[in-house]
Amino acid sequence: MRGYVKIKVYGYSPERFLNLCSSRQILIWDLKNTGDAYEMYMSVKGFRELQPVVRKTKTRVQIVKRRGFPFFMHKYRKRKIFFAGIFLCAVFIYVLSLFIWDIRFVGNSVRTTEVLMDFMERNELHHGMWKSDIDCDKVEAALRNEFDDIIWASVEIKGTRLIVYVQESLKVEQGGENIGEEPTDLCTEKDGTVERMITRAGTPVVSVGSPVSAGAVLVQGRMEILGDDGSVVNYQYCAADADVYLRTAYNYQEQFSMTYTDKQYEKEKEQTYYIKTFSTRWDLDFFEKERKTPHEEIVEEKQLHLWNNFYLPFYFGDVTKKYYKNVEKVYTEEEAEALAQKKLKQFCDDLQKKGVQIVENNVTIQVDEKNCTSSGTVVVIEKTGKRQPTEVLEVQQEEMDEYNGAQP
Amino acid sequence: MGFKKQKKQKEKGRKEKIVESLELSKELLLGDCVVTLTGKSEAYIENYRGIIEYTSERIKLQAKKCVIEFEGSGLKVGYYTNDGMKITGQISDIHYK
Repeated sequence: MRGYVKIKVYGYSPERFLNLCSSRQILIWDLKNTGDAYEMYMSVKGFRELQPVVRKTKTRVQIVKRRGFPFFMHKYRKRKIFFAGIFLCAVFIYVLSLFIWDIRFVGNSVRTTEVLMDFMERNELHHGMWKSDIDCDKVEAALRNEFDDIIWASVEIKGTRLIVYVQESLKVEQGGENIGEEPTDLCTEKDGTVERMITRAGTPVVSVGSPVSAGAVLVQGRMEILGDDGSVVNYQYCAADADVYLRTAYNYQEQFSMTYTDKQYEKEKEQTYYIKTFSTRWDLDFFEKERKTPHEEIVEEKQLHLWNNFYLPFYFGDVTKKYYKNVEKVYTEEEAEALAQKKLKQFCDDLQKKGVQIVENNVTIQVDEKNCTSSGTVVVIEKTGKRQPTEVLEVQQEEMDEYNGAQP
Repeated sequence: MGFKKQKKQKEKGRKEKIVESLELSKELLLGDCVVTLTGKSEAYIENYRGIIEYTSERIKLQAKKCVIEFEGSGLKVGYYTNDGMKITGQISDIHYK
């Protein structure tokens, strides 16, 4: 930045010249012996202090090269427009640095970037806004208020980027269900047979092996208190709590046509480029002819940035177009069966993801000329239990009195 | 004269003993030259007085107590300051005189 020179020293005592330089704190680097002279680099400031040394040592100094900003300025001192350009460029970059040009989210997985971006837009936080208009604390609080599962948020402005760090809470395990204090029954949502049952609170109405239909009560939240004669004297209510596993069947029906449309891609791909700034896009495809055949477009966009955090509102993108023809095809029997099996497996996998255990698979696949049909049932064991309020029954006053009188 | 020399040597021995017992750096107090070599291609020298001779085959340095001579080929001085210097090139011999 301050400039340096390459000099050539020759004459009576160059070694003494070097020693005097070092004793006067003049830094010398890349010293080289070229036979009859020495070549070395030194700063402009050092060079200015050389005169007494040269006089003392009776050496001669010749400048070989000049490098650095002061020399550059001197060389181009008459090019006014060039310097004006540099100045304007610097002003332009400075003005651009006053805005936000990139918003990034870190740490989100359940809440997608699109959802968070949408939230930001609603709160008037967008690309191209003034940096000074952002109140980071406010944004953090708004994020936590809007999304319950975001337990921690931190908003940071780095260069021209707004970086939002979030921490999402993990889902509470099912075992932690809050059953409340209201008297409730557990009932089933599906037809089936009770496979396993563990009751923690309430009166079980069904037993292992008994068939139940949808809506039937499995565990009652009302417990009977019997008198000495076996008659009901009072009821006690609680929120029923039990693990009930039901053997139930899912109907599976899937049909697809044996003919399908396949994309036959052309070998050659077409690649074009574009430049985007603010909301204007310039396509650089002057020599490409627009074709009307169907095609797929793969777009890759990169944002221009100086250093890591100085993003600018300029984007470069390349578009790869893959042209194809639609071709009508017919599945072979093996292909159709494989596809049907794949779909069935997907169905079973989805069920298993819900925590369901598959015990039987009675699906048959039939292939005819037109269609491939898979139908049948998948027998599973799954947890059931839907809460509904317990019916509160009135106890006859006589029985009540008798019961109370029997108490010591 | 002989007496003076003896006295000087005695003083020197005492100085060394003090430096050793206080675990101080020798090069600082006794003015010894420090030469750090990296393979055959680099040498860092500290605590020297100046250059006596410099060609691409030989560099002769004056230290407080001796003259150090580096021999080799394509010898260059990476930097040269009052505190230290760096020699690069193919070093083949180092002599203390």
